[in-house]
Amino acid sequence: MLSPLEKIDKAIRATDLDALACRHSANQANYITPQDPFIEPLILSYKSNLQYCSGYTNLSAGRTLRSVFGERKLPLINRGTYLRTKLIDQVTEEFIKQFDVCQILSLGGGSDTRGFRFLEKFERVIYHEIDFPESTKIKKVAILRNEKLKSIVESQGESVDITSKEQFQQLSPNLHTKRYHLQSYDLRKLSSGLTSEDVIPLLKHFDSSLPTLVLSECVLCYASPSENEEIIKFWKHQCRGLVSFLIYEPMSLNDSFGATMTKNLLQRGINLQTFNELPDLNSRLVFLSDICGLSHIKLTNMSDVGGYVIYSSSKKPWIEVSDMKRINKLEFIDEVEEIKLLFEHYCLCYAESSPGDITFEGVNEVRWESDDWS
Amino acid sequence: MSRYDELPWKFEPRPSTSQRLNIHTSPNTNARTIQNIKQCKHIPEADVEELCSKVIELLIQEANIQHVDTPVTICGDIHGQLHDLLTLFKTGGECPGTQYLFLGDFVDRGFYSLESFLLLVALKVRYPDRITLVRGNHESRQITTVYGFYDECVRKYGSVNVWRYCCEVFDYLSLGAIVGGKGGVFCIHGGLSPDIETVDQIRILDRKQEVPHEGGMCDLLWSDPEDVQGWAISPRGAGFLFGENEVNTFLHHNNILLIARAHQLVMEGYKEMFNQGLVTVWLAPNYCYRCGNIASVLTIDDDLNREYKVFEAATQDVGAIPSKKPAVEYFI
Repeated sequence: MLSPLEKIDKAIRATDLDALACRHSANQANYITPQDPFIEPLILSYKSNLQYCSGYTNLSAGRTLRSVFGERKLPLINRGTYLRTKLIDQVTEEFIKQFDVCQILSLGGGSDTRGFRFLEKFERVIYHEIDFPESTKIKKVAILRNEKLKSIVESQGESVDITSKEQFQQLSPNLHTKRYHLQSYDLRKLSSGLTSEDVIPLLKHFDSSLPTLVLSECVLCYASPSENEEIIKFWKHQCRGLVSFLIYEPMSLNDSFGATMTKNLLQRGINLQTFNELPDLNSRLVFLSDICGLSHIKLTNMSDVGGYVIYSSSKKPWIEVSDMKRINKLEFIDEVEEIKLLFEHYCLCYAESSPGDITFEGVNEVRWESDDWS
Repeated sequence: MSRYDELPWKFEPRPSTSQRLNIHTSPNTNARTIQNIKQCKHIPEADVEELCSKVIELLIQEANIQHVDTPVTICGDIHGQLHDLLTLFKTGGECPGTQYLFLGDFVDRGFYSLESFLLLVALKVRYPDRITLVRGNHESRQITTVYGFYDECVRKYGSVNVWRYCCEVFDYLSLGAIVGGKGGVFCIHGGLSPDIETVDQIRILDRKQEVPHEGGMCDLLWSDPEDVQGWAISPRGAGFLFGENEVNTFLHHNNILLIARAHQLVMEGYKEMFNQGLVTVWLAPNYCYRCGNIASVLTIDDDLNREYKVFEAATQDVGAIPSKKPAVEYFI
């Protein structure tokens, strides 16, 4: 039996399955071009190993996987998944292009494939991923069982075949190569007054002299605002040079959609802790600047990214017109109002800290809703 | 115009159409079916087939633009939210006591598309002169395969037959209605079309087909009003966006007081635009069990006055969401 806290963590880890299923669906529906070949090995790893994760049995894992991957995703989910993936990719790519030798740190990325795509494309980037041990194990097995992934992360590790809960438990959750670091860690621990020894695993492979981009895609929202603060400040203090944060997550806007979302997600055991505490772009600005001490803050909501807000702005749109036309043709859209409503409740926030003059110029390449703060 | 259009409105004798068409429905059987649908009981496939063929016999006689007398209650998208439809009948009055005009999008998205549609069809068969059904963009084979109705039918019956019967009914639904005759209210699911200037042009369309991807019939079911000049491309991928001038011109040319349409989610239940020349009414409260919106219906009385009734979702009803529900979708 799981304790109440373990149940909450299980529900949080399960959100990675949702995200993976969404990416799989957007991939199948041809939103993602060229197709993402790394989604499949991750699904395979879940299919063989979810049963060994805590709180699952063979039966319940099978049921969960069937319901997550068996259902068709709505066009608005495909579209939102594509937009978010595309624009975080875009910002990440600009960062790598500007700094060349740099590191990307993905917090709670779960089965996200961005790391593989960027390691393959850029030879000098270093990619870190930190997540719960069970999540990193799923990813590690996926990598070790797939020759392409193994060569991308430059791992010499042996393929593993897990056949029991014990074996899964004993598997080391970490994988470190020259350019790729998969590290298990519960980031929420950072707020509990850790000693320097407690954070050794986090910093052992971390090069504090490199320009660093920290990504959080629907991750920090599961931690409390004070944990958010500690996590952000921790990485801020580790970096001697530029550290940038790119955060994507839902916000309640204090409206009836937000209230309904809180209720619906609570039914699944998911408590979005920043959702109501940081309900809109303005509160996030205050949080990032005043509380976390970051600068060059830029914010937008996904409705703007998707072009659902009509602007007079002369800045370049997030998504090129030709690409919007392409995805508009893929599937009929049922309710534009609904898309606007859902996407308005997701924000993308950029903020940075730099002791020197170095700043991430590339982030100005795209249009932010609020970009006059620095 | 069909002869049905020219008939003066008569409440008695109610089953006149059925008699003319030689339909032998036992009112008892039909009443029982209506009760069963309301309780979400399984309706045998053969009964669905029979209901569908009966309603087609009625709809085939109807004009593309139906004439509807006042007073009438105009309702927007239901999208399978059966329990909210039942709430509407409880608060707005049962059919046939209250006359209803439904502006399409009966199916897809909600958990009870089939029951919602069958209930309306059964009411139409029982009280053909007290309920008018207009086609929405979701009453289409292509859209229902993406947005849930197809999957729901296959889940409930293990085959595509029931979905096929319903889709056949879709092809016979009217494209719109005029409430109160000349100077009255033009009712449509979506909106205007650059290909259509007069209501008479709609009357001569061949509607008995799958909704096309473009052209007048498509636009009537897909277009949206927006603050644009002239016509603009719709982000939905079909239909157009049309502005105030287009609405004013259409009202003037066709001697119409108001365009009442549905198709767009309105958080407040309804929204008047363009100097009250157009209104959007939306029926599904807390749309998709996610949007947190309220719902409304519009009643047009004999003097063409408008009365909006707003109501909230029937969430207290445990049956509103089935226990084995598909997950409500967010990005998490």
